[in-house]
Amino acid sequence: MTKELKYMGPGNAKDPIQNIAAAIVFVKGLNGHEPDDEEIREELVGYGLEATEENIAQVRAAVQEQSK
Amino acid sequence: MAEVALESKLAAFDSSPRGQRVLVDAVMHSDDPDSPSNDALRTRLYVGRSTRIAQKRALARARGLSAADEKLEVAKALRRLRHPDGGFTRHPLTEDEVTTGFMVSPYPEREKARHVDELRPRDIREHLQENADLWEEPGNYQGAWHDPETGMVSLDVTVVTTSAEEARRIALERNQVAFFDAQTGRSVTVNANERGRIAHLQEESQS
Repeated sequence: MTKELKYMGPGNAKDPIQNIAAAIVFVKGLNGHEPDDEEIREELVGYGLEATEENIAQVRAAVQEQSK
Repeated sequence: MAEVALESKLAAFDSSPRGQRVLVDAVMHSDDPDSPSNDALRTRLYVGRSTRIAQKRALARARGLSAADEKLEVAKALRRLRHPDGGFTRHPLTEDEVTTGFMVSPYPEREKARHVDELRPRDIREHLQENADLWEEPGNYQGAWHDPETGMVSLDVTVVTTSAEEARRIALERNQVAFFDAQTGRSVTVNANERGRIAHLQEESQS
């Protein structure tokens, strides 16, 4: 076995919440890392969104949806 | 005339579930699956699969099915071709699958590497943002490649080609370790020596 293609994103950031969730699901699948709220806040800010509790909850919901 | 009939028979075989299985077996059970001598078979596999998808799509349209049902028909056909025992994955954002073709990165200078244990969502976002100029070009995807032999994950800008020969050419020209064959679900090593370059990328980002 050599390299494995594990993820192909669409290459844009039109929906940052979904992008954050996709990255969380992908990373967790590879190394088991689960981000705490602080890390999600950093990601929201990194995408230019407000680090509100509501946005954190949206990310968590998207993670659940994408993990199905 | 006889040649055309033979070609037509061959194309029909290549696009059938049995034909696809025979082609996958021929590639994967050859002495060296990564050899360029298998590229023509890999491309035949791709053409057969694309033909099958096009046929299913045309049939769904002729039956007046909705876009969603058309998508479902294609997914079902693919499932039969790829996983006779069931199971397939969809893109988490668009629900589309990049199901056919050969994935390879023509932009080694845009790669970012991390050891799998150190990879975080932040790395994926930063790579996305640092390469914003390339996402404007259609056909560019953010790809993540895991190399279990070295434990490295490299993030890159990936394109999809329609022939194994083209993917190999790009991989060789652009100093890539491998390209990915979506038909067999396996990567094809082109230049194992380039693993050193990937490891070096991580060292550079840490210094």
